[in-house]
Amino acid sequence: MATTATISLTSDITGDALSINESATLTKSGSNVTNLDQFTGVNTIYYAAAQSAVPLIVADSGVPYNYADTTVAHKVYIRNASTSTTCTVQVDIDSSSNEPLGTLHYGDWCFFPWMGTKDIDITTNEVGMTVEFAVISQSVAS
Amino acid sequence: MATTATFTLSTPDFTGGGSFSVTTTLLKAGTSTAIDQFTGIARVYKAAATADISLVAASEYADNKSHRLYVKNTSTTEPDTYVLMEVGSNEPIGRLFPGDWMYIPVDGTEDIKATTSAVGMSFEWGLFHEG
Repeated sequence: MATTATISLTSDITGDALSINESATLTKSGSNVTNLDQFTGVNTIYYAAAQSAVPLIVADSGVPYNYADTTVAHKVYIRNASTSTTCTVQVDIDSSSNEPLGTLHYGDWCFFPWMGTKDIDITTNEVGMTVEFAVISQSVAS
Repeated sequence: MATTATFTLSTPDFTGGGSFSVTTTLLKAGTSTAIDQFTGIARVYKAAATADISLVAASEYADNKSHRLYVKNTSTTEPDTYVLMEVGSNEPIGRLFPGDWMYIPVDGTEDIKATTSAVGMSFEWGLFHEG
């Protein structure tokens, strides 16, 4: 048994239609057989007010996770689950520099590796927005 | 014309063995208009470990739009090898190990770069964008 993440991309933008279906088994850094052993579950957060660079995933909070860092294979999922086309969720890396990764528009999701060294913050632009997130992680660095 | 992205996470070892799936249609920022430009899926092979391979040069894309980047580490190298993904001023996003993929929004304001950690590594990438 293993945790798997699958992406399916279909597009008819180009003359030859695109159809990608790729699945990754989520294993620890440096191993292709040892599975990641921590999971936050899928969290749903409702923000009554717009938020500015509020920490969503904290690298070293200790509550409830104290994420191992650097030689790790953590994975992060975030989704803008709001229902208005004008709602956006900007995702930043590093609570100090707030380096913008990108903006999730209505219904958008993202999935990416995370080293556990810097916080992941979000900025929402409207009242009454909903964000989903999950972290699949390894408890000890490899 | 439409592009869709579906994510499925299966976690049989956690929380009762759940699975969930979400699908989104790729739209231009703040609109109901479909994304209409795509780089295609490119494959890159690096015979030697290589730093700061430019995938997205922010200067080539409009700012604060709804671009999306897909990257997969297609290497068959040792499991401790990786493609380090970075944004902006080499801010690390994370490491893609062989077989890993990622899908992220890109605003067009920051460069996205990849660094391969070992010899003989390859990866694939594609950008859906607004120009």
